[in-house]
Amino acid sequence: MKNWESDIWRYLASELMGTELESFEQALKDDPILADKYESAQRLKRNLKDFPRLSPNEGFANRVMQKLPAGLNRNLWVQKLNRKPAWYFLGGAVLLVVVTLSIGWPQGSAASSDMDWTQIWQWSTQLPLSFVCLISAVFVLLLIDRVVTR
Amino acid sequence: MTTDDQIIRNIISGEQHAFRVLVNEYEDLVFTMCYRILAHRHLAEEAAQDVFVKVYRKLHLFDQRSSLKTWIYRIAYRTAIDHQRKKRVRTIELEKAPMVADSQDDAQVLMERSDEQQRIRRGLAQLKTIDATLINLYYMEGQSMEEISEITKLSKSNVKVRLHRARHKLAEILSRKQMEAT
Repeated sequence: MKNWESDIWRYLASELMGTELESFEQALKDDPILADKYESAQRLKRNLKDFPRLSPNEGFANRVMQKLPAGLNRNLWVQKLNRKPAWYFLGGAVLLVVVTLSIGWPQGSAASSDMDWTQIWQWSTQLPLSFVCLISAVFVLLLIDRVVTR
Repeated sequence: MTTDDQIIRNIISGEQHAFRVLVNEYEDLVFTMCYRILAHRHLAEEAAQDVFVKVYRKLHLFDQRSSLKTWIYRIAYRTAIDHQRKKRVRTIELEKAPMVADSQDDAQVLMERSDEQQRIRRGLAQLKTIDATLINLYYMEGQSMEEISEITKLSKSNVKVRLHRARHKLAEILSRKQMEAT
């Protein structure tokens, strides 16, 4: 038994008896009634420890097996579809967005310092498409996660 | 490799028998946890079935940071609490439970009803669900502070404090009842 746990029980018993812990130790030796009450506290602890576990009704395992999702092999593909590939998927989507945006970025002479706002505006028209790609990827990812963890 | 590891591997590789082994191994533990929270045999069995379906569905996510037993306890605790909310079960019903067993109860419940244990059981029913669960896990199931913290998602120090208070409260209830009886 851990010390602090023992202390708490002694303290609890002393508190119930209305005495201080220090005097309780001595009183325990001198007072048979107190010792008896302390023993009942200890008995409570033992009783808690000895509480029996209960069993469900007969055939519980069969009822559980009937409730399982169809086909135990489902676990196989679920396992393959664990979180790692999902993160690869998200990484791929982010990469796609970056590539889409960089392809559209004005190249060569167009990318010179005199690049005007019209060119930047044209480039920015690709942004919604990229964000749609990204949001779709996140949505699919969440869907996969939900299926896996359902 | 531990037996649990082997069982998990077998289940994931699609062996139907392996999951039945797991259910047989943990059914008493899960059912008892659900019963202590729901205080109703039929509801406890329903919740226990849900627990195993969840275990089955999530087993591939079990990362072995804790033991399988602790992980199953956590699912059982959360499921039983959810059922308690849905069904609006009041654990205080235990307090009103008749001294004589009803037809639903089996020999084990009767066994549990030794004088002292029955008194404790009724005392526990007067505690908050979380407090009764802490006492159940620590004393009746012998779980460590770390494991209880993992199961209930309370910090270790919070578990210690709450357990202390729960014990104190239980002792108070029991001594009050004893005084009433005498």
